[in-house]
Amino acid sequence: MQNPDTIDRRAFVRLGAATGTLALAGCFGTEDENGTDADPDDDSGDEAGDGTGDDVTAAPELIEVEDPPEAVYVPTHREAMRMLEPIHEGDFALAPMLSYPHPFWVIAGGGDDDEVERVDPEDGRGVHMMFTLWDAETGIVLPVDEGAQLRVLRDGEPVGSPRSPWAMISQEMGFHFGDNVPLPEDGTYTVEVTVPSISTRKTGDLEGRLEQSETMTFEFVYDDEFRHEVVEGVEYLDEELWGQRGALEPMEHGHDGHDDHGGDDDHGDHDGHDDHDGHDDHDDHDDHDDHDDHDDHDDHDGHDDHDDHDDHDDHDDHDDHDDHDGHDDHGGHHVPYSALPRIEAYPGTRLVDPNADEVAVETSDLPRSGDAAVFATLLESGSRLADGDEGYLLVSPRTPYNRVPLADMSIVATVERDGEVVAEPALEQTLDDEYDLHYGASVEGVQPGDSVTIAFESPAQVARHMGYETAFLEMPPVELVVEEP
Amino acid sequence: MTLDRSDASYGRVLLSVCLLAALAAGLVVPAPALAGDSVTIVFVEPSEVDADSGDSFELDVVVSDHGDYNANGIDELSFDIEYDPDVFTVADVEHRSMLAAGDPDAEVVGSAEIDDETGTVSIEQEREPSGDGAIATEPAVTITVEIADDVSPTTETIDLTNGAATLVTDYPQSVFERDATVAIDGGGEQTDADADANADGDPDGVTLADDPDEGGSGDGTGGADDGSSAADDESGAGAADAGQSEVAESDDGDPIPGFAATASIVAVVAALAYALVASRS
Repeated sequence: MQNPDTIDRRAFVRLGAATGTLALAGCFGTEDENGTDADPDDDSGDEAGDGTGDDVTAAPELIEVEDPPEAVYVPTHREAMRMLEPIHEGDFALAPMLSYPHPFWVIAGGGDDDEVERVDPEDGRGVHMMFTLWDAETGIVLPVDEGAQLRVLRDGEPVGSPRSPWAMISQEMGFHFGDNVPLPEDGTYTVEVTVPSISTRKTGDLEGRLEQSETMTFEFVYDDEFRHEVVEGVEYLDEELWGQRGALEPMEHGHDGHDDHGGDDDHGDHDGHDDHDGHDDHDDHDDHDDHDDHDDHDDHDGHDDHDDHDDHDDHDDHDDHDDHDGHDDHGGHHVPYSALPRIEAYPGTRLVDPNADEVAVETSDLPRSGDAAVFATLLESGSRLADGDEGYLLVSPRTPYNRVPLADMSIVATVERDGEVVAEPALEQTLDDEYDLHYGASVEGVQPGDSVTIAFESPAQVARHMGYETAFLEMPPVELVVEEP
Repeated sequence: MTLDRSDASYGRVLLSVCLLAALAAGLVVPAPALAGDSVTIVFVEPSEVDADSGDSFELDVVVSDHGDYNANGIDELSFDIEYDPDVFTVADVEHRSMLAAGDPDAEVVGSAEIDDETGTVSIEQEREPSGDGAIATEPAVTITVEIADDVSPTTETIDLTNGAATLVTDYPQSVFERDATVAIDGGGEQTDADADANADGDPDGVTLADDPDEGGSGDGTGGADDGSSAADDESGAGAADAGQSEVAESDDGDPIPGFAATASIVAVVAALAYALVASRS
């Protein structure tokens, strides 16, 4: 697909360290080997011309975070993108988005789960093409990779080969599909996106839906206006934030000038979605107080909107589940963000960290594995999700700040009582209209006080944008206990 | 006072690299700028000048660009140089070779518009032929500045503004601009228009961890591990890499792991560099 510059995480770290070291080395030695002064006008041998030699040319100097934590971290900047009008076909809805070509990281799949490959754009001319896919009726973003394809055409002729976009997560956009797509020249391009039927287990209102593959088409103009729009819209963060543990809020938040209109969920306004300037107003950060308003919308779909916590964890849970009822009452192009429900929205008996002082009330308080927040609950027998009279073990791993689902993992739970294994179910990835993406299995006889080990046999097989690429890789087991009444 | 260009060349290189190192290390706070994933840095060299009223001196505007991910360089460049016209007059502008770097057949086609009424020099340059574009750290122009005879001791800023650079792919680059200060007759109180430029550290739109070690304790698989740097992995390979001893400080809230020590080194080296330049000139 592209030309991945394969590196493992340690190599990635070295790259970052080397860049800084080289730059510093230049300070200490600007004389050449003969002891003569380096001449900035001297073109010989040093293409970079900065006294740092070819190494720097090979590793372009970027504003980047050195030695990012092995966790979710705040990147250097907020990307800008042009958001096109969503399109609907059959059960699917799709919102295309375009940005400038940029690297992302994919799971290497080379045997070591902690390997990532940085995928650089294969051509500087082109776009980073993305789309969010969701169920048109429930508004559930479909965070599973079932093999979508996209074809780019110009004047009816194919531009390059068909591509299989990567399933990706980014802090701003949540789960989406994307790839860097080279474009030979300015012009109007047509994109055909074929989404397959969703074979992932579906429950609730999603059951029986999304069974038919669909092809959707959109057009966009690649020109100077676009290039300036997506580059000039980039917002660099204050550098003291770079690399801190934390995350950008979803792009709806703080970037569409929420104004508390009646407490309605304005997240979907994406003010600029239809006029392609959705990111011109970066300065229009709404204050966090506005976020409280969004809780109002959880009511729409039965999700409790408990609190008006001003805590950060709440900032991102607004548009996700109000979308689930399919309302698009914003008069614009509401693009749902793939945030999972808040933990209070799940029924059942919680599985808790036996060493924690208190039960988690926010996603950010949950036990972590590889910085993924791991929520688990045991639904009582008779749950619609369970087989027969069995209970249902529901595990919901998610990003710790924006609650983005971590898809395509392999998870096994081991239930023990008095040191004896009483159940060891493999959890099946499931899409539910109420609980969204989770991993679950019917279980019998699990009791309060039982210990449950959640083992992640493979991490989320999704590509990552900056800020997520060092997290959710090595995921050691999480030990939980079924909460006593 | 007129700086000797040959004397200044060593210092130019030294300061260029140190500025870049400082930027890479986070020491220099870039002005908010139009930006993509890669950047063009435009800075004045020397960045600090001591001169007397009636003197003239030269300043290089150095441009540093490392191209995009595919080694495409820039072929268009523009910026403005702004100054107080009551204090300075720009007597001459010389286009330099940065934009032609990497191709002996490439030329810089440029224009310079001096407006001494407003105190602005507008520079526009193109590389012909564009080829792969310029990837270099070199002077783009040299300006000759004259100080009025009747200036009281003061410290003035020569600003770079409206920087723009375009890759051969037609994508604009991010541009960070760094200014210069001129101390006249020993200098005076500086009007620091940029003093508040970075006062707004409000992390709007960002959710930070409440605690750098946050995360449930679980069985030790959660937050405790998560507090480590990626360089600090279980193999120890990361920690063994050069200069990583400070990485662990990220657990103590160091905003950018490794930043503090690196910045200190850069600060010391920059000071030494400046002293060397001063002694040579």
